[in-house]
Amino acid sequence: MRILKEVILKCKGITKQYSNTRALNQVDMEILRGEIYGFIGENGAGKTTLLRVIAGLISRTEGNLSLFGKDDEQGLAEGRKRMGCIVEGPAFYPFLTAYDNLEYYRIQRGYPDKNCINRALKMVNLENTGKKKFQQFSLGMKQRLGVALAIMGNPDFLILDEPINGLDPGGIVEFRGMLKSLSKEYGMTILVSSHILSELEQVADRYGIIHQGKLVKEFTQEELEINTRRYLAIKVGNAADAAAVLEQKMGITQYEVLPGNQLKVYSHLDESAEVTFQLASNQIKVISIKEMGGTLESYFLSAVAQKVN
Amino acid sequence: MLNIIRSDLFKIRKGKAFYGVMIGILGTLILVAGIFKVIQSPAFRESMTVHEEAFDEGDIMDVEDAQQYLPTNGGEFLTFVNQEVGGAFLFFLLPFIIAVFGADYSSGAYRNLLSYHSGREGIYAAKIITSIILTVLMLFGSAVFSIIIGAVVFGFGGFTGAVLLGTVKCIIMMLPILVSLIAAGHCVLAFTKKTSATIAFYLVGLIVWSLVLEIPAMLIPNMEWLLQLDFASSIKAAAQYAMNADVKILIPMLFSFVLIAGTYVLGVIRYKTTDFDFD
Repeated sequence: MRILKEVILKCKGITKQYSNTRALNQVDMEILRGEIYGFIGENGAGKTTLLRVIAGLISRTEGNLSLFGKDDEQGLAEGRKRMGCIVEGPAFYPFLTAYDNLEYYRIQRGYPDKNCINRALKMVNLENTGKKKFQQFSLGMKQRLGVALAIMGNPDFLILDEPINGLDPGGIVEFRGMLKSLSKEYGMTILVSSHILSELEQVADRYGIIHQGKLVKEFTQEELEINTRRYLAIKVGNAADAAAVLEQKMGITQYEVLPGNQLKVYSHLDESAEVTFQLASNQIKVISIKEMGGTLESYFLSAVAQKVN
Repeated sequence: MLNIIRSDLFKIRKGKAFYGVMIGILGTLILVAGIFKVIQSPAFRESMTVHEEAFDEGDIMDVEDAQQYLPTNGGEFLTFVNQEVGGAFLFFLLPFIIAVFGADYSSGAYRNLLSYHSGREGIYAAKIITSIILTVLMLFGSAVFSIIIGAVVFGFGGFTGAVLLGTVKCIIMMLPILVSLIAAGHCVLAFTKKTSATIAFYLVGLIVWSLVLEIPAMLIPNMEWLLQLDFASSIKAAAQYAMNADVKILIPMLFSFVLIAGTYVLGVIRYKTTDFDFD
């Protein structure tokens, strides 16, 4: 089904070389219409550099970039007008109010409808900031104003670089809801980078992990769920007999038998004592039993570790 | 490009800096007018005459001689400001303009601009055009202030058609020199991307440039014409020319146009090709 969707962003072999540093190394990335793409990487991995290349702030040393299917300079320029982005945090004039900052960009971008400002401010809950200047805003308010600017022109493609930084817990929940709504109700395609992986995990459809300038892994939410699914890892004397006992005595059907007399049980995670008791009662030697599985964070760390090794 | 100019004018209108500079100009003009008024007062003349007796004749200009250079009506005050005060613009108008546009870098707002508008040549040109509009507004604002202050302090006399027309001509003649400095300022900003460094470079540059011209002009025969390239002298010459004085302005004007073209091309190339990846 995926191949039927329009490719919004395509990076092919993107490389950025600074004098002695290769910030990006042959990055290939594809984002499809309507996706929320979670972009993950450690500090200095190359996340912001790639976002800068996409936003046109820096040039690429090698590689091909296409936006909305167009890869020539004219096409990229048109594509960027359909994008809303915050790269490296929100940047506004400190002496202007939220409304005036957005009015400045409304004039600059030639949006004819003045109401787009109030709509955007309302979406990020900044409609009542009145005469308060940007310099008096909290970090969370600044982040939300950045998002307001990014969505003000109803873009087709939204790029958000660490947008959750500085948001309070309530703000994070609201922000998560807003991202989902922008994607589902407005059909926006979203590329979001974040260090807060637990938050990305709740909104993204697909992920890319960048490490030392290379995109080391891409995976879908489904793949993540499979790979990070929690289970009881049981090592027994006889896996086939153990499986039969668990089915008959505890009604467990979600399990896998692995080589080396190992079992992965995906249900009854809180009943490891009962599982051990049932197996032992049926003369099956339990060598070890422990709860395994992970989160996006552990998956990210293992992906990076594999690449390093 | 028009939208970028309009938005920058909106930002300037909403900020306090522009009004601050205009108040600074107003204050300077009030101060100048006030000093003249004090010098012209009978009490000051009497006091100076007493002091003059302590000096040998010919040591200093006597009070009566000095009085003839002071404005006696509003029109003369306006003419004086046109001819003598314009050079002061170099020291506060242009740093102000650099500060206004340097804020794009210090606030990080350039990221929002460049990620939406891809035509960097157009952006660069728009910033220079906005700077020129600001300069013209300030020059005309200064002229209006001079008329009001001149009329209030020295009376309504002297505002002839020739003086008013001369004021407009003066602004037009000074403009190429100021624009050359604006273009140079934007060019330096495109390289440094820092307001403070650009203003420092600009102010130090003005002084160093004067010295650079002064030394060969003094040491090498037939090189006195170099002094015409000094910006403060150029502005004064342009203003005096506009007020019908017999001064040479061909060399400073040509130099201004060469500087505008050279720094504009250099600035555009830099702005177009540079990576905006600093914090």
